[in-house]
Amino acid sequence: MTGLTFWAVVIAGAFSLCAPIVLAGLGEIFLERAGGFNVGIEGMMLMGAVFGVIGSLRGGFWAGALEGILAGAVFGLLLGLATAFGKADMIIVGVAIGLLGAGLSTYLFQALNPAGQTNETAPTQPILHLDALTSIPLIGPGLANAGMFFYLSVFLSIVAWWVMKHTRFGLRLRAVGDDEVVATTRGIPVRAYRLIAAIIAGGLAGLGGAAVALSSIGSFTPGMTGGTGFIALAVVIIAGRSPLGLLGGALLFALFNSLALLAQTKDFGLPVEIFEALPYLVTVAILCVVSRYLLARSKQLGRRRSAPPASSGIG
Amino acid sequence: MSTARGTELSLLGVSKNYGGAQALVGVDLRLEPGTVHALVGENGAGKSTALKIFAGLEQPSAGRIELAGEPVVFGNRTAAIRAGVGLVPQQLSLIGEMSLVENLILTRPTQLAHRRAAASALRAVADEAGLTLNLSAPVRTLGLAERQLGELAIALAQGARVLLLDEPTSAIGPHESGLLFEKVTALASTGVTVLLITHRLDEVRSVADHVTVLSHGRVTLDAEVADVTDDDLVFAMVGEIPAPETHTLYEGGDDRLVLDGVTAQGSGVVPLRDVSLTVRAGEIVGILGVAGNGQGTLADTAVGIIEPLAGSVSVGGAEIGGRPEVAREHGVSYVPEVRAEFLLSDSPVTRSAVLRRLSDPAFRRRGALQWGAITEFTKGLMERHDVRPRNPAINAGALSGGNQQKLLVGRELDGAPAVAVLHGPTQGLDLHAAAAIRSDIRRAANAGTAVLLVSADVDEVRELADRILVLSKGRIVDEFTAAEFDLQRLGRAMAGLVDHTADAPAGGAR
Repeated sequence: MTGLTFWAVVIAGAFSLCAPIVLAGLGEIFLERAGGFNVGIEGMMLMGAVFGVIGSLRGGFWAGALEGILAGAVFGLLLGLATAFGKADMIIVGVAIGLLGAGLSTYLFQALNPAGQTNETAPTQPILHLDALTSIPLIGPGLANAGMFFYLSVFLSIVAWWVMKHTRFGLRLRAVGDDEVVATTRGIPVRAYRLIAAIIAGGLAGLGGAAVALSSIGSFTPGMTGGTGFIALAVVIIAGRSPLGLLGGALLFALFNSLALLAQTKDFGLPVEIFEALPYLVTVAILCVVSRYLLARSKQLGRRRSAPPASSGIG
Repeated sequence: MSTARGTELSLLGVSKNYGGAQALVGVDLRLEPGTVHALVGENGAGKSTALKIFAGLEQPSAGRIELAGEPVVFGNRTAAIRAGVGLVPQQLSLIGEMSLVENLILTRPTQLAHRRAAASALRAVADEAGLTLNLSAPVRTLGLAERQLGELAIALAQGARVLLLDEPTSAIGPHESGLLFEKVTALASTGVTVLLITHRLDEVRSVADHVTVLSHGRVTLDAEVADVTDDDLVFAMVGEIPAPETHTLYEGGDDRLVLDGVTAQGSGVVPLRDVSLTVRAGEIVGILGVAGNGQGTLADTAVGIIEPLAGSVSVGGAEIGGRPEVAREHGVSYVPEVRAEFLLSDSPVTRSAVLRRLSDPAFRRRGALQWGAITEFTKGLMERHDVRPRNPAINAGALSGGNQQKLLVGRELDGAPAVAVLHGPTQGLDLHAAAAIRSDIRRAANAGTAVLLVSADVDEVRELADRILVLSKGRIVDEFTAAEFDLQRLGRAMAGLVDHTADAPAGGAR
């Protein structure tokens, strides 16, 4: 990457790092709009990561992405069935799924790749090489060389926004989350919508996990998502459950994360630990500022946009 | 109005069982196009069940529904909407965060939202029906009346040929009610079929063409409104009640609970307006009224949970307004309408039994609770108030509903407190549990407790109370002693036919 400025490299890194957050977060938006909350998001991502690697080893990148989605969706189905039909507590089932996913993904990987054996490297995401974009200052090089997961994230964010605003499905999902009783009176099959939202949440978390494993590494390590799922949960809440807000929030977080990684190569005269803490500190700071702003605005307008759906039991 | 031409819709021999309880028994109900059909009855008479069956929210256990003479089955709400059955429910059934247009989109048949098309469809029916509505603001920023009219517009935009209105005026003021009924009668005159559920006979008189009365799940009257008197309707609603056993327990004690000109706003829609009443030691004062006329607010205010906006609440001369802990100190006990909130369902009975007495020195030694003494006390309490099984270790939530209520009422009445406020103490209980609780109440009064009994159960109040006050729209509209009990007069007062601005004792004290 000679010839690129330090900041262009940081930004390029951010494009790559934001994808898992956006993908998992989009799923969480569907679930939260329907009144749910997925504490097991990390487990679903780890399942997506391990199946992403397995699929990619067998059938290439796209097979990996698809298997990642399916693995997550199966866990989403589990969450949906247990909570929408089995009336189980969503937080408890979420914790169980999180732990199950973490353990099962490690077990599966070790079963397929016994210790001592050299890990095969799976095919990773295609890079689009949109050379026309290179000339844009600062962000151009990053955009031009961003991988498939970044562009998928942007594309799916727009799709999710459109679905929420312009389809009956999106509005019904919101209705289910806002008021279950009213939704039933208006003829909406509430449980079916809850189930579908959970499957979507699982599938997208699985894809997000695949994005962690297949963006540049091409192999699995236990616990490799490293809290990305929880970051996604936080960013979704900060973004007020809006897909485009999520994209922006994830990019911001990824920018500081990327800075933290690259700061180690450059002497800023500050300990590296400061930079490593930076993304989290910034997230907390922004959370506070945004909440205050939304609170003030909601008082002004008599609305409560950032409030969680009434039936989610959080907030 | 081409989309809104009415159709005939009927229930034929419809019965509905919930568990063992029969909510409807062989009900025939025929709604004719172009008429407003009123369905009246007391609480629990089966009005809402009939409505839910019409709306596709419940399925009949027996009998059938006919639409324009053809048998139909509404498997769910969506099927009924498609068949042209519009519903304006009693409780707000719009998503508050969404606009009226978005609420309409929820039930439109297309997958895509088509916001503009939906907005213009809604605008068109609203204009045609003469409704002025803000279609794009979130529903929760709209006034209650505008929401009701919005529901109406949405039902019409869905192509409703039949409109089901479930107590549409319970949440809105008289002016808005007038406006709503104006629109409804105008719609009926264009051919729409309207079913109006209400328990207000004044509404039946002013808007309905035809009236059906339900009592205990059966049709007791079915006639043209012009052909029946108010007395016929009241009789059909409440039925024949055997001659009262007039018994006056009260012998004249000192003033215990005094409400003076109390105005208060609770969580209910109907605020309390300028209520004055006095309950003396050893006296049982009954508050009767159709549910939702301010009963909950009155009870909560009398025990200090709600602070009055105006006026005063005092016990034995001490002002307690808005301070439940002070009320407690002055010996006020309370059985609220929602009993679950006052019992610890997931803990042994002992905990619920002493919940109010934790500072009693008998149960504490150097700050530690004396579980032995508490268990003994609980056993005694269960004995005195007939709570079965007599096992203090069982979880309160594992007791039957009747025994939970006996435990709660027993706890509150044990040792004859200065004042007891009881809200629907036997609501939903079987006859035996109800009888046990009633004798408990009588015993407490005999021992000198001033009892304020808030109930929707006419028989119960008649049996127990020395004096009866009637609450309607948050005001005391009538008052009489047990000896003066008159069912017709009561029915008229409860149904809102008494003009409280004229001859009724608006203050109601003594």
